[in-house]
Amino acid sequence: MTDPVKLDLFLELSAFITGFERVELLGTGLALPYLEVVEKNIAPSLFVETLHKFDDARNDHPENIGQIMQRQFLAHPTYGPLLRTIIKLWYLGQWDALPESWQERFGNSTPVSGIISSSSYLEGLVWKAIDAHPMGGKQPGFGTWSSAPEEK
Amino acid sequence: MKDRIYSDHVVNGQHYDVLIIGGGMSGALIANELRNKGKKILVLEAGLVEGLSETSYQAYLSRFYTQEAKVPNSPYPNNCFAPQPNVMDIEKILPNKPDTKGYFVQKGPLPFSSTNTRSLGGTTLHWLGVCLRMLPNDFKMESCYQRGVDWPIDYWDLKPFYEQAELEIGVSADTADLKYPGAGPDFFGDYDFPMHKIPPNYLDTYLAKQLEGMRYIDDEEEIDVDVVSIPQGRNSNPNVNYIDPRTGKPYVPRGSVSDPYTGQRCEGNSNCIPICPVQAKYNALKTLQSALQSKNVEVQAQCVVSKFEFDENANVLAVRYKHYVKAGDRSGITEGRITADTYVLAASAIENAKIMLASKAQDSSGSLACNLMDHPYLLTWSLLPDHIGPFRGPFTSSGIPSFRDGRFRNKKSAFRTDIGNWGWNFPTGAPYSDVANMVDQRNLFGKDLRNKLHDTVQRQMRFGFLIEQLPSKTNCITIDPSYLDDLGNFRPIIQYDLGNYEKAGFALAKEFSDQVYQRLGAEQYTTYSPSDPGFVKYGQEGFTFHGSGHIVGTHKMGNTKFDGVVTPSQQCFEHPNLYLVGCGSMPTIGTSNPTLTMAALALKTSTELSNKLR
Amino acid sequence: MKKQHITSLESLYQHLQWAVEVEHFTIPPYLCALFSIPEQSSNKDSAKIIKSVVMEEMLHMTLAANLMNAVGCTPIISQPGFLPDYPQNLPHSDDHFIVSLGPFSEAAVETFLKIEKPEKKGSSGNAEHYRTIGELYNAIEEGLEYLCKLLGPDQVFRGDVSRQVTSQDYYGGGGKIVVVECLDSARKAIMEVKEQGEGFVEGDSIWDDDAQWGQPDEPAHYYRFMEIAKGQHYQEGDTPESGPSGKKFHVDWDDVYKMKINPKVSDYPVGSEIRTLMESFNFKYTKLLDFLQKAFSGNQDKWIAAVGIMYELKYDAVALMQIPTGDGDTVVGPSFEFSYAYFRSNRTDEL
Repeated sequence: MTDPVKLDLFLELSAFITGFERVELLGTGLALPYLEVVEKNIAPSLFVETLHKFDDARNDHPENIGQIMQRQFLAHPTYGPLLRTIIKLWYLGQWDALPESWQERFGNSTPVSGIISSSSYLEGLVWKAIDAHPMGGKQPGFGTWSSAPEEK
Repeated sequence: MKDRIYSDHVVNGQHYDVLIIGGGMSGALIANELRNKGKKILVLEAGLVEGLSETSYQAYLSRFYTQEAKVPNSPYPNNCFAPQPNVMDIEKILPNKPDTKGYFVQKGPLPFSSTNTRSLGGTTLHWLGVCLRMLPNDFKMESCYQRGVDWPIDYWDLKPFYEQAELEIGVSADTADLKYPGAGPDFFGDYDFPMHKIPPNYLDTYLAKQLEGMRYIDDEEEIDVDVVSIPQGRNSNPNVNYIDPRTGKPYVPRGSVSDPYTGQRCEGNSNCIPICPVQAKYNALKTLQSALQSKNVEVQAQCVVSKFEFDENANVLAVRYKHYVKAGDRSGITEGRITADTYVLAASAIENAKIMLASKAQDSSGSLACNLMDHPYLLTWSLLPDHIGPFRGPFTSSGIPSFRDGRFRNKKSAFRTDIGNWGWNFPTGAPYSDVANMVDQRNLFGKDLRNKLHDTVQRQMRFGFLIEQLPSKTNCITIDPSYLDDLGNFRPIIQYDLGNYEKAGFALAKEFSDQVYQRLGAEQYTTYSPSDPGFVKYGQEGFTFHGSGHIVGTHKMGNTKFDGVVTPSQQCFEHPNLYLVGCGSMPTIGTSNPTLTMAALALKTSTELSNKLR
Repeated sequence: MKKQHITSLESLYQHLQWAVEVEHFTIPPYLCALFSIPEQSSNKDSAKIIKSVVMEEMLHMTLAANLMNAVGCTPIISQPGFLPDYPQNLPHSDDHFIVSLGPFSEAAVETFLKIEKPEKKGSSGNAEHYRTIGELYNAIEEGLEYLCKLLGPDQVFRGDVSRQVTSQDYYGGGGKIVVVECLDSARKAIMEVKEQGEGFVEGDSIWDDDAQWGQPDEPAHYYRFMEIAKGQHYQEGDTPESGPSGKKFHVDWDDVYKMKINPKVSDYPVGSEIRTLMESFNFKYTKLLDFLQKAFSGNQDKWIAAVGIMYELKYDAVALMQIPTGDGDTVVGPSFEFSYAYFRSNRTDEL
């Protein structure tokens, strides 16, 4: 698998599990760094396998992809912990260590954990999800906090 | 300016007119006020010179971004030669086993959970910026309520210094909005603040509307509930009617120390604690920068004072300290000694007390290093029926001051209510914890996760109650040669507890909070667990308190050397050429965040020193 | 005798509207260059310089609006025609160069130098076309003087003072807002624009005169851009001839988000993700212009929201610059086009 294809699938998968559009993920400037983080932390074969399975599922059953993701991926003992960690990576900008037993079987020998970088903190999707800005960055400007939150 | 800030050890053996120990707010204010008196002034700072340049302030900010636990001291690296407490070190204290995990040695029975910062600028680097004056009755607790003690001065003595402090800090408020119990019309008089109030958070407006006309009623009290804006040490629109007495021109908000165009207004970074990225919030670096405009003022960093030498008249003869080249590098440590005509100890309430104990200072009052106080901080939290847009703007912009004074103070603590604007950030670690919870426990993903997070966090609100703590001789600091830091200085040993007076205050605050949530139709999620480090029982109820960062009372002022360590001008009774300044001088804590009062006291001291040095 | 360009109030209004348009015209190109410099970049000094200039351009646009309000007419800024269609000539200029939207680059800085080029001494252009922005302001100043003499100051300065933007609402950059009520304050406002920026007279000192406001003097805009071109700051004693001799700084033309030059939403298919994101940026930009229009028309409560949108636009623009266009080389950027979608959903009353 060539890198652009891998990045593309990583983005598709990430968009699906985070609830954000692909371009929103790209807009963080962190797609590539996060791909690297995932690859540093888990065995390459498992990651490729996960991406392929996801690709097959969405191509074969586009109408039912939500339920498939829930039952066959997030509820899966191997894929589930990985996908939840990837969701948190996008939302919080940090890599949470996976359970030890999981890490032993599928992890890489040189895991990184914690907040990846200043920009990963500032680009955490959680802030967009809650219609706020990261605390200490991307400030909204004087007095803007007085107005009622915009309803969607 | 840079030429007079030293990291290398250059001041050893020198003599100064005034030696100020501590480059925090009190020290900065005094240096600044005395800068044009033609006297040589040295500010001795234990920590590093950081924060004045753009690069070093940015380094604080980057450090904050990448720290997982974004606690008050998270941007400011711990320095093992000038160690500082960290709330991450707070643990439940076991009986007869001092907790030594952090810098403080905690003997309990309750943990002292407040922290200060040991770096140039001091704790104003992470202070909140709330600038409330103490109320008239706060100065006479004993006469009014037979509790605590009276101050040797009253509100009216301090009023002009409050005004001066509000100018130097740059306080934003509109007097017409401010309404406090027990404060008559003369409380402000015809005074105006330099800047208009910070625009209120949307939640404040929401609550003001919902709580309009509410009265709190229980068996003993009937209290009007008012939502009132809070004066803040952060930049807002200047008040065009306010003429700056220093320049004779309209007031201009003072921005960042490295770029005056940055931070001319609060930009809503939602990060007052631990670090305001644009320095719209006052910090003592601003005052230090002003002081350093004068050639009379020098700053020597990386010098940690260990003790004073006294002469036969009990005057300070010299100060002994250690200079280090690099934190952790033992080979770079040199000892030093400086003399001065006048000494000002401005190293924080706890460090001040510790240095006095280490110097075996005289104290006939029996109150040195005693009466350690804080505002035990009680949180309650709930989900509102409506979206209120949290996490956009200052930590708090309004409060409910209704319980700051009242007849009940003879039985239980007064308190001030903060309306928090950052959802459940303080009580639960929101929104980070919400993500973890929704992903790991509630099995949400995709659009559902995004929407659920939005709906939940948008409805989060919390109150914080700052409970007045009474002075107590047994809440104290001691030293012991078996507890030393890496530089060989004493670590403060803290003994700390709360009494039934404060606990009754918790119960009143909680009862009030319950009534408000009932009125709002909010779902309450407040829980206090016996496993929390700050858990206390009161009758059948239990409460968890936190620290407010308000470290007060270790060298109280008094009328004579038998009832206080310092005079109302913070001059040490027993060591006349020494001034102990800071929150340590406050005999009681009231319900105001103490920084403004501390600043007013420092300015009062400056006035006295100014006259003496003439 | 010098030619008098402005001989009627109508012509004065027209020229002031041009001034507002010219000031605004510079903002999107400067912003694109600024936002294309990453936060953690070796080009920090250049970013600081561009930011300081763009803040002052916003001040100048506001000063031009104050001048217009002072003479009793309202700037028109939330109309489709107000937005330039980059690449474009500087409006009302003698068309001798073209300005594009693009990243921070050597070419961009060259263009910025042309925009800010000092005027020739004593020149005030010809009719509708001015060689420099300074010449346009000279014509306005002379026109104001002429009309005050002809009609009396009360007939010229007949605007509502409450519409003036004050220092309550403008902050965060060099220079100072001037409340314009009379010929004297109008001259001050024009002088402020000229000293900081475009109107600088060739051969004079390189410094603006912000010390009069208790602020540090900075080089005028032309010379600030010259600092970037030379990678060196000016210092006291430097002259236009000497060039900068102060602290050198690093300029790395490659350490930028390589935004596509003059992007347009029409580069992408309707409904595509990138187009949608660009449209959302334009929606906000059009909303900003609408709010500024209202703020300049007496609704000063719109300032807070307008400033809030300015912050959002920055974050959105930087996000666009993270997204590859697909040509293998460049990234998307903001196009600053008029949003009819915003117009339709919010301005039905005025269509």
